[in-house]
Amino acid sequence: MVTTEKEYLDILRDRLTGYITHEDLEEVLEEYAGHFAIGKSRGRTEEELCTALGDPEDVVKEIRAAYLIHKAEQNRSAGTIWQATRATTHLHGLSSAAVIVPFVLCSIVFGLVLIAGLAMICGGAVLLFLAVIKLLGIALTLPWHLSPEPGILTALGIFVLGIIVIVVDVWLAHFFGRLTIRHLKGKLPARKDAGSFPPQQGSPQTFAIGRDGAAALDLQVRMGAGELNLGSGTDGQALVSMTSGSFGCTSPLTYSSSMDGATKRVWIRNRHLSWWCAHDWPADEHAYTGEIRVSREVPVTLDIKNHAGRTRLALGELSLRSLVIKNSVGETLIDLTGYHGGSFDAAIKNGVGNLVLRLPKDCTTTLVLHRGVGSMDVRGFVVNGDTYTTTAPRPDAPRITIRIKQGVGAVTVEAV
Amino acid sequence: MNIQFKKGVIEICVLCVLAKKDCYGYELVDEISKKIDIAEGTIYPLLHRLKDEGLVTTYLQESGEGPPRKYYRLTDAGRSKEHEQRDEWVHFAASVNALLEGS
Repeated sequence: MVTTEKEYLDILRDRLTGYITHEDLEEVLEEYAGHFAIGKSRGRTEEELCTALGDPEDVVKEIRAAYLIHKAEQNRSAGTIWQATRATTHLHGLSSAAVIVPFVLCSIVFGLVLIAGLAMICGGAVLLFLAVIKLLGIALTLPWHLSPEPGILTALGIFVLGIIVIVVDVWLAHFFGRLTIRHLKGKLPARKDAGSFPPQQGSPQTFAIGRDGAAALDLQVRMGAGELNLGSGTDGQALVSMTSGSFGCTSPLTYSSSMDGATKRVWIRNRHLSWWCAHDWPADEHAYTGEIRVSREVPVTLDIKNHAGRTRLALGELSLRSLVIKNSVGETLIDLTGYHGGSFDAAIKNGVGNLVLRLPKDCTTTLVLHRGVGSMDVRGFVVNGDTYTTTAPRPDAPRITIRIKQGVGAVTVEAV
Repeated sequence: MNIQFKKGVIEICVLCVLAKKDCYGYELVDEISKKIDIAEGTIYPLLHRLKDEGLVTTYLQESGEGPPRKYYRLTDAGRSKEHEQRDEWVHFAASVNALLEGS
């Protein structure tokens, strides 16, 4: 039985070290130390306070489970989800078998299907090779007898089917992973608003998604093809607004949104390839005025994919939590000039096309650059191999860490 | 009372207490444990989670005695969550009571 403040805090420290970050640990200890201090100043003894607080192991279990769920959410893998599942089961004193048996069964099924898919790809490739050899009329002495001899189409069919099996399997595994995390958090799927926003030719229109008291925004943009402009500042209480200008050809943007705790998640998609039709493409760059604008009021997690088309992001006035950008084909411009929001990590992947990055001078920035083909121009940074850094004069300036993978095209980075 | 049973209700209690006024940790814990018998220590992890979810924020304020205290305050999202959960609870409790009295 724990009877002193020191014992209580020592248990928390011992049992949480390595599970949560040092900063979080200090915050937790400070909180409990404060509880003891105030309690004692009101004439309660350490022993009374310990009894009222209850078993410190229970506190440890709570904090560990919450932290592991958070980790599984950030990095969804079988391992992290497994840990989070274990911790939560433990916390609620449930029979482990009730959760672990289905989890293991699911993992085995997904694993077996994956292996089957891989076997089909390998087998298909070998059969394809044999079929081509035969077609070319090359006599091949095989150590085994093959009957009937494979046709090219059969071989190709097996190969392609293998790929499809793997894609579907991975997708389903991801889906179940997300579902498990949601379940662990004890949340039912949130209410969703969804619809599409058809940009009309001619007159500009604006469509807004409300804030609804959200304290943070998680925005995901997926563009099949098209120019993407994203900036900051919305009217009034809108969290995200979309404005259409004179689009060359019409293609609806579809959106959906839901609340997750105090975070509003918004998805915006344009899967239609009709923007990519050359004859409809606006000849004048300024003809395109459609854009997405994001509220400056809340911290934002931004995840953007554009498969084909130019991407221009003006993020200097936002406060970012994280930034993920994937642009397959097309120019990418990311402007963080004047950024004074929170610290964040960014990952930028650019396939084919030039990449221009404007970074704020007065932030502490670390840039790790992996580059394929193309020139490079990095101004105002201290260079050390693939890593480029700037150090802000003020120690409390935002810290930005950016990993860049550039395929083909010039990279320009400037600190302004 | 069953511990799982209590856990779900504690979140509503925390939100309701904070809806009335901002509290520092000890004050909040004290307020709740006066009415409900619960391991006080488990309220702090709950506060931490509510903060992570953006339902509460914290700020430091000087106190007459000792170091500055960390106060918890409901955010707008916390406030609407409080309304929502309070309504749900009232409905639920009324239904349960009706059933109990009916038997």
